[in-house]
Amino acid sequence: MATLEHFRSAFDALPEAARTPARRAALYAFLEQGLPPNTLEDWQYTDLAPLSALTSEALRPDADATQMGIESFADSLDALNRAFAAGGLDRSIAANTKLEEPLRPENRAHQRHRLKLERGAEATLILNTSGDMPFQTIFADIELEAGSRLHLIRISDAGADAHRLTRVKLRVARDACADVVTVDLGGKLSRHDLHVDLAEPGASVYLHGLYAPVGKGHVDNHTWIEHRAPHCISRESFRGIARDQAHAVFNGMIRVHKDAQKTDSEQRVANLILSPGAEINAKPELEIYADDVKCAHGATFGQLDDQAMFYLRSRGVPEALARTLLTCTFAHEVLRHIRPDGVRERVTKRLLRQLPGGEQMEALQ
Amino acid sequence: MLDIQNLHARIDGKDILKGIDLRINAGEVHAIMGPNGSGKSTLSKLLAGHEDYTVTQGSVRFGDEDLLELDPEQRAAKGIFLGFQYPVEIPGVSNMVFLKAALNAQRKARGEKELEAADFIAWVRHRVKQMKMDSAMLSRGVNEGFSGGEKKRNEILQMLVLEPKLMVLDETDSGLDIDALKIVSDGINLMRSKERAVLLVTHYQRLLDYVQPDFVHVLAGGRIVKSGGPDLARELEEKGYGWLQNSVGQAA
Amino acid sequence: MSASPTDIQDLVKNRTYSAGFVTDVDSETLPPGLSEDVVRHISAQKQEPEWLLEFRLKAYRRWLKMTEPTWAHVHYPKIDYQAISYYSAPKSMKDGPKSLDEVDPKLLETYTKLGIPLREQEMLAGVQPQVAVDVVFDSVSVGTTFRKKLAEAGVIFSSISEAVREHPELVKKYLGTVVPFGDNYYAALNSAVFTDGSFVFVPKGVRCPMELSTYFRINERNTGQFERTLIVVEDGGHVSYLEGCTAPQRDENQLHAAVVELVALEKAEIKYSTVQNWYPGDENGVGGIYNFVTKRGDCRGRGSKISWTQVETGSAITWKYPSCILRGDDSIGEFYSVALTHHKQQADTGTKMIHVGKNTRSTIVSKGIAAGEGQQSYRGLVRVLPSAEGARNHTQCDSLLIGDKCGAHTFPYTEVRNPSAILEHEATTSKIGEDQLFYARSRGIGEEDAVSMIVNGFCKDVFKELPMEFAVEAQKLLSVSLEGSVG
Repeated sequence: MATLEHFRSAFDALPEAARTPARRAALYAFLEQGLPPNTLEDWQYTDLAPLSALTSEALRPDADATQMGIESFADSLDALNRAFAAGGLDRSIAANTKLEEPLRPENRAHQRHRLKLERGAEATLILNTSGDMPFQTIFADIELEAGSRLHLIRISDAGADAHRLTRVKLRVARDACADVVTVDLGGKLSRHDLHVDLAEPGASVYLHGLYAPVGKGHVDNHTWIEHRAPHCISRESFRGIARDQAHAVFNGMIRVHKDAQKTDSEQRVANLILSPGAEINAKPELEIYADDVKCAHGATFGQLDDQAMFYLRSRGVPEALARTLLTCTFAHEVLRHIRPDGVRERVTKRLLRQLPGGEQMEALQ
Repeated sequence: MLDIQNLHARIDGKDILKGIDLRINAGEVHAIMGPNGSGKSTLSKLLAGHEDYTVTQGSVRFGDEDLLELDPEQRAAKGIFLGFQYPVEIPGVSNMVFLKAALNAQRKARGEKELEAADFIAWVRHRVKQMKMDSAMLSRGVNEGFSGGEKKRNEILQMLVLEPKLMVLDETDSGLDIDALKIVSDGINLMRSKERAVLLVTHYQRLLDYVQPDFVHVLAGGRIVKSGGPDLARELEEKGYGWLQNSVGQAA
Repeated sequence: MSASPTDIQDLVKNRTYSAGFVTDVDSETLPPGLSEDVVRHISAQKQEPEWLLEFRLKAYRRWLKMTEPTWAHVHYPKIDYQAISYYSAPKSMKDGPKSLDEVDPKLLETYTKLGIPLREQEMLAGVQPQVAVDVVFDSVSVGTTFRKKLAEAGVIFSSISEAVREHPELVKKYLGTVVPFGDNYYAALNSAVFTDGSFVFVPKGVRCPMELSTYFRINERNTGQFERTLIVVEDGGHVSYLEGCTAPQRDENQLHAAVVELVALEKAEIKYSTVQNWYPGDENGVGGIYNFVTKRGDCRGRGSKISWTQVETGSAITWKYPSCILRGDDSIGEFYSVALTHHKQQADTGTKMIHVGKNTRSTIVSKGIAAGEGQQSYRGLVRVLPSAEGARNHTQCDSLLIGDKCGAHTFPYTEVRNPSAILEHEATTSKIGEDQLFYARSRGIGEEDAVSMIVNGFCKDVFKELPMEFAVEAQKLLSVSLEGSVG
């Protein structure tokens, strides 16, 4: 078992005011449980051992002395974030109001957010774990009350030595809608968990994700969509592009609970492997305990649209460039769902830079 | 310019073309008509280099080259343009980027200099205006969310921008209202010249009222069963393809 | 008007398990319990060579260190491996297999009742399609038909115990090479205590002249059946093999942990079909077989092909993933499955396709039907290794739900490490449509027939892969298994 002592020493180096009993208790819970082992089905393809190789300076627990009031932890990582984060966004968006500007939490190494959208409220939240910070964890609990709408964007354009853990929990009430886009570019080791509870009739979630690790990067996206009530809708579409020696993991669970009749759910995952050393593991899962449901899922690997390929070549575009163009199209299918134009354009540009032949594409823009 | 001799082709083990002979000289406009399933689309896709079709016999020469040896993009650079019956959507790649990628790749392949950005934009905008299109379309994805008519118009725009030598237009008239048909025909006529040739593949006489062909061929059962002047098209429009069954029988 | 689910549920009575009788034969059965002594005893009973005893003991020692897998989507009380008897044989079989003339008539009668008349089979030869049959009763093979005719073609078809005695070199060469003795918990257990099963060897260039089949029967109380089957087809050979299984209706659960190994050399082809109808337990979930099976085929040679077809209607718990290792370039793996769970049956079944060689292709078609309180899971793995240039997989995985208390689940694993691989996985889940039912009924088709028709339509892609006689049997089995399920 890897030693986690440096997590303790990093914590002990905090100013006394920051070492609250609650955070200390969380730290102990983490140290006691340790990192999740590969023998767990949910951790089959992702080994967090590299976290134990980080220096204690790289861990950067938050030195603030804010009180948070979270006493129990779902698992050891939950406890770790609780111990290292001093807080974050803690907001309620008033009923029937619309936030014009996206919420962008302050960029700290460890963040813990609580957000509530009251009835009919509308907001955009951007969680960004980009940059070179060696270790970052962001955990968020988000509640969508009846009829509210949230556009959540989680972006990780992280450096080659960056480690990232995020976990977002969304509870979606009657007729509320969560519209989520996640993008992962770069990073050394990232694990992103997204739990969506469609808790009341008419709740819906639209989830689009792109993962495109490079170099020796490893990125793992796990999603759980729980249909707990009748007449809920979920749409999930993930796309993966892996090059170099990168390794991507996608695991998406759709669970239709016993009384969730008239569930309408569709899940798609499509993958492109660009280099011989790259690997993608994808597992779109369905668990269904209600009979009057419409559920479909699909996974594909390595298929660029043949028709489009011929179309491009018939116009004189050489095969390699045509491939790049179609890889862009492939990613665009996810990126186009990012609503703030500026954010979408920046991300698209960033992605282009890491595609083979991307320079050529950039020159064409 | 184009010389097709005894061309046989198949897809999925099924013979579609069973001996096509066709010669097109520079400056000529040919129309190929025929019932559904006669092999019209196969012929056009095959000329552009679609890989699903296997040529089992015969030859196709373009200028002094063996066309069948070339990849689709090489054929494009040599001057072959296929107007697709069903143009493909390429979301996320703007028309501007697409045209620039295509034009510059073709120029490069021909050993010509790539166009400067400003010259390119001016050139494309000029063509957009000729096609009576809104230049805002240039920043939209290729055919993304276009109506059937808009897609066909976009095909002709691409043709105007790329200035090919041989234009193979597969059912370019289908799905067009009368105004759009006029614009599309004007576009085609704009490209007619002594150095270029056009091969119109169509089901109807309508397009031929606007783009006068020099020769009309009837394709049925994978063979050209009848050839003639513009009058043949009118005859077909009046009588349908039924009366040809006899001559098909004779040919076989 | 359309019938409500509850009306329909009530329409038909409980399913009947026609294979649920017990044959009253005098058996010699080892007392329950597992130890090295038991392993040695089994080996001695079968007069096995030393190397095989060693193989068993290694497996047993490994098994002791292993833990039962828990990842499958099935729930059952902990199995007490010391409460099971690991060897049971009719006394009349004590001196090893004999000709059919000497087999206890009661045993022959058992198979006649199950629809497998061994004698007539031989007599009717030449009148109907010939199928050679090996029958395994509890722990021993009772007899194998058509052996002479097969021998003329050079095909060896016998019980595995017999093969160990008569063709030890072949068995030694291939046994445990596809499923190593420590492969998984149940395979290790099987490797230690396996009793009987079939052995098939098709030499180079031979097309086996008839279908081969083995019929497995568990009769004795408190016994487990641990059969071991090994099929080897040399270059250019071809064989189609069928397997059927039944057990008496009993209140306690019985364990069946089989291992099947297939080896296909260059351009060889093996078609392996199963109709599994072990006792499923009653509607309250009492009794039934625990079916924990490891089946794996090795496409060792270039251009070889292994095709698994299974119809799984029985067993209380099914844990089974017939797999293909596509090692040879251009080799092909196929998996066609219909699995049905009714009452409280639980099945976690699927396949693994491991692409190693170039241009290897695999096809997976899985049809799951859950009725009553049945839980049905498809679990499949498609793995493409870096060496598998040009690998292709197509997976179609559909579930049909009948009633609102059952569950249908899909767990497809894809692991791809080659850029040229093309994989497609499609899955759908739907319920049997009330509008479909109503439509059929309005045309005068009875409710049960309509269900049976719809389900058969749903399964047709798999049934068409079965040999004709089996396809008919499978269809019948499915409608019997579905009795009382409509909703």
